[in-house]
Amino acid sequence: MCGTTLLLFSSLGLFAAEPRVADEREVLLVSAAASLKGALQDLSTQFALENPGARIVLNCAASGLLLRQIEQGAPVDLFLSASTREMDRLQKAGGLLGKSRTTFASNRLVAVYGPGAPTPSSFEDLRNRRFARIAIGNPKTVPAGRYAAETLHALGLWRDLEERLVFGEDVRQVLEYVARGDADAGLVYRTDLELLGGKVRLGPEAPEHTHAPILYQAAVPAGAPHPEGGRRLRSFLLSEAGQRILARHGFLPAPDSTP
Amino acid sequence: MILPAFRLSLVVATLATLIVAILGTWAGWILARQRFRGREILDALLTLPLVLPPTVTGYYLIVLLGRRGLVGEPLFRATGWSVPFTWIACVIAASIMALPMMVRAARVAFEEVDPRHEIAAATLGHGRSSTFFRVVIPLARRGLAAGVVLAFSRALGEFGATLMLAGNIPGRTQTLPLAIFEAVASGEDRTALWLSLLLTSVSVVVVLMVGRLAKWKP
Repeated sequence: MCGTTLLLFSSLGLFAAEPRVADEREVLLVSAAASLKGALQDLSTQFALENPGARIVLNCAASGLLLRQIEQGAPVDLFLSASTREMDRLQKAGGLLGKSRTTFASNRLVAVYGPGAPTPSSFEDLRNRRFARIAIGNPKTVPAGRYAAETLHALGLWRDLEERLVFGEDVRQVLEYVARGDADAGLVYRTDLELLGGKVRLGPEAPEHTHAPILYQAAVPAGAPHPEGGRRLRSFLLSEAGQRILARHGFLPAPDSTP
Repeated sequence: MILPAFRLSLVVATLATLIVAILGTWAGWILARQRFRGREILDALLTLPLVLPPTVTGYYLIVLLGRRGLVGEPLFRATGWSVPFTWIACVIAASIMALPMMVRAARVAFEEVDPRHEIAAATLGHGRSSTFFRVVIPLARRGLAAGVVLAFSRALGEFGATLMLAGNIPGRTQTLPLAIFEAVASGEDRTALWLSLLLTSVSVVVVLMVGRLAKWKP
């Protein structure tokens, strides 16, 4: 009798000790533009706290490359791109799930320069030959590079600067070039400064209307293994908590008029 | 995109192969014939680019040749010029990566040359360099030729270290492998296909040449 009671109580103890997790440990693969990495790390931590049993795996790279991966069937649960172009392509090819596409943040293009480099006071300043090498993202594959090219064209600087441009394969690389001193200035997003701490300094912001608004969009790809999880994470990005974390990293909220 | 990359690749690979043919033959000769302490360590060091991930080699090259690099900084201070983002960086990266192939091939080729030929040549009045160029090299030509061909193909296909040191700048440092990478990443499938076929054709020709050389009677 005593033995049975003991057995009963100890098994209850086992049940109590068992952590409360979802039946399946849900691992969500998120492909995100490189510029979101810092914010995503905080967002993932917060999301995991609010959704025990969910774990987020981040795959950060240039949006163009991520798009190609998804087109080739990568099992991505949520795609976060730094522009609408990649999303347009995916949507046109039928690669997005229903109405999951939303804008969740925006950003601004700025010039940065490294320690020991001349200080640009405006984008026009870059015409000066002292800026022997100016790093931007590859306009073919990096949205930040496209915006940079747009701005330079709008300001009439492209022709003068073109031969001095070096392309980075993603934003981090652009910052690396500047921090290393191999490029004298770089054009990146305002939010990217946090990527390299104090090694790179903030210069002037791109004048208004020299580039299309930089919109960050989220969507669940059609082939997502965990579409529900993807949707939940997307909602989290749009929630107050998510938006607060994004703001902390320098992102601006989505403009109201966007789809 | 295709033609500039093709032209640049050919120029870079040819220059790199020339550099490597000379340096590699010299190093192979020293490793084959001289006995000295640390000989195997030298061999290991020269083989390093073959076994290290190209990005690690690229990193070391940046540390050495970047504007703030060990060699790069004095160079920049003196001339206002630096290696990264120039076609010269492509040549350097390709050379470093191709060198081990030449060194190994040359060493083996020279080790297979009977030293008695050199002694015989000396008794016939040849000086050291005359012996080397007119006796040893012809005897070792099969192995040396194979080394050159392998070095060329390695230099042509170089990607990782090139991307890190030279960057991917169309028209200036974008070699064929870099162009393929960009074409794939930007969805230009047709271009990617053509570039890959081009590179494959050149590589097939190279492999065929190596095969022919193996059957060449010295």
